[in-house]
Amino acid sequence: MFRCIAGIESYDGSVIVSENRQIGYVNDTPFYYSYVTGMEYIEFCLRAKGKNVSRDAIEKLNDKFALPLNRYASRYSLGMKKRLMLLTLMLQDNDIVIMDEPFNGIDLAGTIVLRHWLKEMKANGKCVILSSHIVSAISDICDEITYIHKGKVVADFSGMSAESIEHYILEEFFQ
Amino acid sequence: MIQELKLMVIPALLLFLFVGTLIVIKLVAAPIYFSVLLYIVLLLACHSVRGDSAFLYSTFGTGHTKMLFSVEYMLLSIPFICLFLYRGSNGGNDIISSLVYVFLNAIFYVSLIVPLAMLFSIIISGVLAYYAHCSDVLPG
Repeated sequence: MFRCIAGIESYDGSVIVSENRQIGYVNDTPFYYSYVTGMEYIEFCLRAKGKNVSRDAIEKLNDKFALPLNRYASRYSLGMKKRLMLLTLMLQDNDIVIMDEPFNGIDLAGTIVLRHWLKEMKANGKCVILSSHIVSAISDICDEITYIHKGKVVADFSGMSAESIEHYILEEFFQ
Repeated sequence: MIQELKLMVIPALLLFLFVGTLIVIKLVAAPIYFSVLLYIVLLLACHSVRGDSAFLYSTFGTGHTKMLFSVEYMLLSIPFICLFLYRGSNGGNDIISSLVYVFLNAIFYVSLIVPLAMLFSIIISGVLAYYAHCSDVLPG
């Protein structure tokens, strides 16, 4: 579904998005070219989206992420790779962001920054669509939570606490 | 970059060059249809194993990514086009025009099925011609 919205996969039907909306997509498995440094990757992605961000601004934001941007991104640990994706996404300043399992493999520092950024996006009225199997990480941030089971939407957990969501899923689908 | 490149790259590159040269020598001697077959296999293999498709589509969008692919594959096909020009037969000219058609299609975002089918038909006709020639020349 995410790939359809992001325009990566062909599909039947239609996805309605207002015109001139810039969509950012984060895959569940980060991809980095060999022999491309973190800084080069960020600059490449920003230029592709038509953004002009100075190296100083990137370095300043990187203080939160503590990434060695002069090292090859393909040699980062999984947590660092995820953090680099997040840093790039933050710099791109998209109108709509689609994230496939952003909490998978991300380290503690990354989780804190990600949650903080999601709250910031929400406060700024921007739209983030994400998938996650870690209920506690999203229950207090997301306005709408939909449960997809065996490829079908089966429940709406909007406004429910993580505990009650987990209890409901356990009772209804796994007993 | 040089610091992180391992020394293993040098023998691997030499081996790659050696195998490449060997293949070119063999292809020059073989019927032109083998070159086309290798070209198609190489192109399809390159496209199917590449891991950056999702990244490129999400970064540049469908239109630009298709154009990027077509430019990349056009560069990849330069040695083959040179080979076909070197061979200079009528079959070679047909193949070059088919390749040009493939890339024009790719650039203007039309389906690749038609030109690929065209290339396959050339191969099949080539194989048939080859067998007809063999049956004429070889005893029995």
